[in-house]
Amino acid sequence: MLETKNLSKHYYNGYRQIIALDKVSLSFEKGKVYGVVGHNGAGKTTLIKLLCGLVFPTYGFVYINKKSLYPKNFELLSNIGAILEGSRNIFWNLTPLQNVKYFSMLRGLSYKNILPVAKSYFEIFELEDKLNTPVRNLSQGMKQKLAIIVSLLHNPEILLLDEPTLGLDPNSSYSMQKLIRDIAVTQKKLVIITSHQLNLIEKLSDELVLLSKGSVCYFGSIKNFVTKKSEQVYILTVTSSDGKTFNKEILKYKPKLERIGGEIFATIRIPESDLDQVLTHLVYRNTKILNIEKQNSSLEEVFLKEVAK
Amino acid sequence: MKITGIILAEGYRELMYFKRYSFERLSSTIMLVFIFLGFVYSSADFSTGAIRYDTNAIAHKAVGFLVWFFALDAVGHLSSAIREDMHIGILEQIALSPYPLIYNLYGRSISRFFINLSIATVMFLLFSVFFDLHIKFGFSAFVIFLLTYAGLYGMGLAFAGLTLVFKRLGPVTTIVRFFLLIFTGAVIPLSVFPEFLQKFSQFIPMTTGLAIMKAMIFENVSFFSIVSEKGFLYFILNTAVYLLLGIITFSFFEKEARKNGALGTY
Repeated sequence: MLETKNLSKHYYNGYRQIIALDKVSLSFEKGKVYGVVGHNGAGKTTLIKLLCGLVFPTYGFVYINKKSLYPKNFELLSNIGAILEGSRNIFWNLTPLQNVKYFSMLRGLSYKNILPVAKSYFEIFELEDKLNTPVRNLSQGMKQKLAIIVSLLHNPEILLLDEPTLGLDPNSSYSMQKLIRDIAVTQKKLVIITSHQLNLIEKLSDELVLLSKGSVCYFGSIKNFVTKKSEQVYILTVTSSDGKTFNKEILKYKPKLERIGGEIFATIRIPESDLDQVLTHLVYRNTKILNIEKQNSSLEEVFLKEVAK
Repeated sequence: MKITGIILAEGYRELMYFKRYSFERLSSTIMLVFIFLGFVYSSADFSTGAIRYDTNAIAHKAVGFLVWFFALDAVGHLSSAIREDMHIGILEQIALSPYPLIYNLYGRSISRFFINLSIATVMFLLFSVFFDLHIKFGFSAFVIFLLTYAGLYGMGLAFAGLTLVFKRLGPVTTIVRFFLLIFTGAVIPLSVFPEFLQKFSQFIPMTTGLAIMKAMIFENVSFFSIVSEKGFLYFILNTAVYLLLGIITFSFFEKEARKNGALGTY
């Protein structure tokens, strides 16, 4: 559906070359949500802009349905809808309906035919009573919702969303997430999202693209990434009346300690590699083990660890 | 079909903007009327203690001024429109359309032309009533005017293209706009300027077009006798070169802006 081959973008600041994206080869499929993550300057926005023709690559290719977008095949852009971070995406001086009218005409669609589609989206996003309010008077969340509606008007096969939930309240963010999943799974579209909210990416995406300094560090299933890269930890809940049990051997894991009556209750987070040693210590000290729970790291934890590398 | 859509969309946006900012447009039109009155009264004769002016000279000035009114917009509006779109951050979303940005500019210009035509008509009527002018603006003169406008529009496209990369060109377009007012024979006869300036002025698309229009309006020269003259061929070539250069310059700088990722920056 959408493919990149050796996609690279270099900028020049005087004689200094800045590599924004370096030989990125990826293959995206319909019906899935792809999350693109990376720290600031990793190349996320550059990748999104290269995928939709807003920035020309230094070299490399973008294929949409096996046809190359570059150098001059811009009619393929009718397959793409995009929300760009830092851009306005919609006209604040016009009303939502006027925006719909403008963008439908811009994409060669009949406003009359598009209006019922737009109205159904307005209903989903609870904007139906704001149709004739100038956008400048809407909240940030409403503006973002309208931007999404406008990007969907021409029924694109590919939706590129750069920080789509930025500035949204929890309710709006939830309805947005639901809609994004629905677009990908039910409507069988390809959705590519970038976000700094890693919990959102983890919840929404099927596949992950991890970028660092313009290069792809990981591309594949999020589950695999988290399982493969995360160190499994065990949460132990123990109790002992002997204060000496929690000596430096245990304190190095920074346990949460609580004294209830004569008993000390502790919750300790232990890496898998240290589990045997810690259990031996606790059993030797006659500690009562109340619970052992295996826990995987979150995407955020793994990401922070990987970025630190 | 889609290109028509882009033109319609931009026309619609221009109309909405006109509606929203009609007060600004009204005040700038009043300002232009004052500039025109300044030109008229500064050349009037006050020696007898009363105002005496040459109606024929005012009629020449009125035609020149109204053509300049269109030039003002043709040269600078596209550049300021692009700058505004970049400034508010909507240009990238517009540039996601499957067609080059130049089609959006065509749409804006067509719509803007009709808005200006209605404003110019009001100004023309005001001038005619106020100074008792009897100007017959025939169809042939209108054709020459359209060709003149096309050449000026080429200049506007070039400035719009430069704006994509260099961002702020306001002062440059303002200089060109006032140059067009003073040195093309719009309100001041070309003959009063040094010869080199007169020759240079011939390279500007407005100078020849305006001279032909004035000949048609005030000297009743027919369209066919104009067409058969060498000067007309030069006028057509001049217009075509400006328009073509404008299109090429805009397309070149659009490509440059996309190469440098400059569409989204201001």
